[in-house]
Amino acid sequence: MMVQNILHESDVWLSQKGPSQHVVVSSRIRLARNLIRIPFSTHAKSDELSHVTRLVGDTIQNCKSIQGFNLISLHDIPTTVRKYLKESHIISPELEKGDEHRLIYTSPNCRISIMVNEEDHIRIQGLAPGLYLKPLMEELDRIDTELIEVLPIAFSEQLGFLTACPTNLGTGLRVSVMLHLPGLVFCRLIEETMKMVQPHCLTVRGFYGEDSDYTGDLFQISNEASLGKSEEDIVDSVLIVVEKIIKKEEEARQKLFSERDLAVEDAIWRSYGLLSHARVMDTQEAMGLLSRIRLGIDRGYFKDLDHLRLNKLMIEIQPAHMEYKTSFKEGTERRDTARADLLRSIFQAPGSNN
Amino acid sequence: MEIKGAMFISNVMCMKCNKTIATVKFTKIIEGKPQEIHLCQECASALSPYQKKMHNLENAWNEILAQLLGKEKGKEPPAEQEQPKEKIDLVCDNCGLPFESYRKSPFLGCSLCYNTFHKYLISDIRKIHGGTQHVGKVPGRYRKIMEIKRSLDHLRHELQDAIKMENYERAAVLRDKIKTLSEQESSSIESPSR
Repeated sequence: MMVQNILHESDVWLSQKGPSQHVVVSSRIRLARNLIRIPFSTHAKSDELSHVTRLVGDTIQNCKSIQGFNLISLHDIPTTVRKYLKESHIISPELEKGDEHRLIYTSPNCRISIMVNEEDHIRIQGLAPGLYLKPLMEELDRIDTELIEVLPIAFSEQLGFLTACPTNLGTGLRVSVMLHLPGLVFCRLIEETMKMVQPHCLTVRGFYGEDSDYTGDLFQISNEASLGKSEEDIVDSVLIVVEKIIKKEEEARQKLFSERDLAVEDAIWRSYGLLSHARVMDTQEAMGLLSRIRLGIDRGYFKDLDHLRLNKLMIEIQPAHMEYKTSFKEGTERRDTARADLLRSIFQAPGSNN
Repeated sequence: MEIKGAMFISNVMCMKCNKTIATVKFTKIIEGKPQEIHLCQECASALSPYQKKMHNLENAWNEILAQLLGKEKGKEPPAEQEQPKEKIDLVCDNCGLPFESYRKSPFLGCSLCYNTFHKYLISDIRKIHGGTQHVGKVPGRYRKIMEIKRSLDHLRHELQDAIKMENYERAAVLRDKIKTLSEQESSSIESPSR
């Protein structure tokens, strides 16, 4: 399978419709699994890592639910491509390093990916647009069952699935939902809303996971504890909180629009002004502006655009995506020019000769 | 969830190095009131390297709080200052990881480390997850082992009762059953380790 095709498909999942998409950008679930006795990938030697890739590879070949998956060895592809896959959330930052014996199996639409030798030997990840946790969990569970019934999986009755980091013990499950919350940010209710998350043992992260920034009013909610609760309960606990946040965000937007808050309207149209005229733009700025546009869509502006297009744009303007699309060599300035060009082409001001 | 990080632009100097303009703000809710720490990118990432998870940030927080907002030195030692941990000279038989190296990184060496270091890990695990008993999916072969264990417990109970009642005939039957099941148990425990 050509890497080219995978890049082409890596953002397909983003173009699909999903529930609650006006607030929820995407849902992500991952399961961490390891093989008995073999040192975890963080500590394994080269021959042990290749032993893992062989064992997993042989098993995958015979799994009904994993047919037609594409295989990439991350060591063998260029840095930019790895960065691209990370930006698309297909691989983790750990795999972006591209060390030897790191593999990824992706389903034809890149919705499911199986990472081999991430910090854990096996990580099964599912990605879906909108709030789509339960069906995604079922899909992952089927794949997982096929794998763990064949492979010698490290498990303990007390601690559940044994993982490289104790934070993932038990179910090995991490459920994350990416939320776009410009309304709550505008109304200065975001801190208060996030406090609501605290008693539920959930954590808030930025766009690219741990320690990343809250770019473009995007917030990731995920479960903190994975041991002591069943998979179903973990999914439910995230769902309950996310549904509450969606409601709060809807109320905040409603309030902003019904009061015809001039500051909000101004912010939206100023963003449009910059997107349709700027000649140089970095990722951070673009993310902030696109966030305002996304809010504008709810307000009923920008009839040609929808949430889906905006979700996709937020990924498309990321650095490695820009580099790939424009086949520019690395270089911030040219990338920033290309980004401004792309955005101008989408937000063309009527009558202007851009 | 207690600590949040956010990008912002300010003219506040980094509260740690005091050399660079702070670009990262951490907010912690203490007794319902938000408290803020402003750091430059470098200090912030030094405090919170990728993968070091939240408890590290928590420690960093306490450290800075002690240093900066820190009341008069000596008078009010930071509440959560942990006592110096005793050195544990334990090494995993399977992968050779010394326990002390887990303390430096958040990773264990292999699945058997959890057996070797169990009693030293369990309080960390409770802190992270709130519980220490897995609930949820169990791989097929372990399910079998767990079923056997449960039946063994049951049979052993019955055996005791039989002996108490001086029903030796029944006790003999039970003893045979227990023997067969125990053999099954040890063989299925070994099979996943291959």
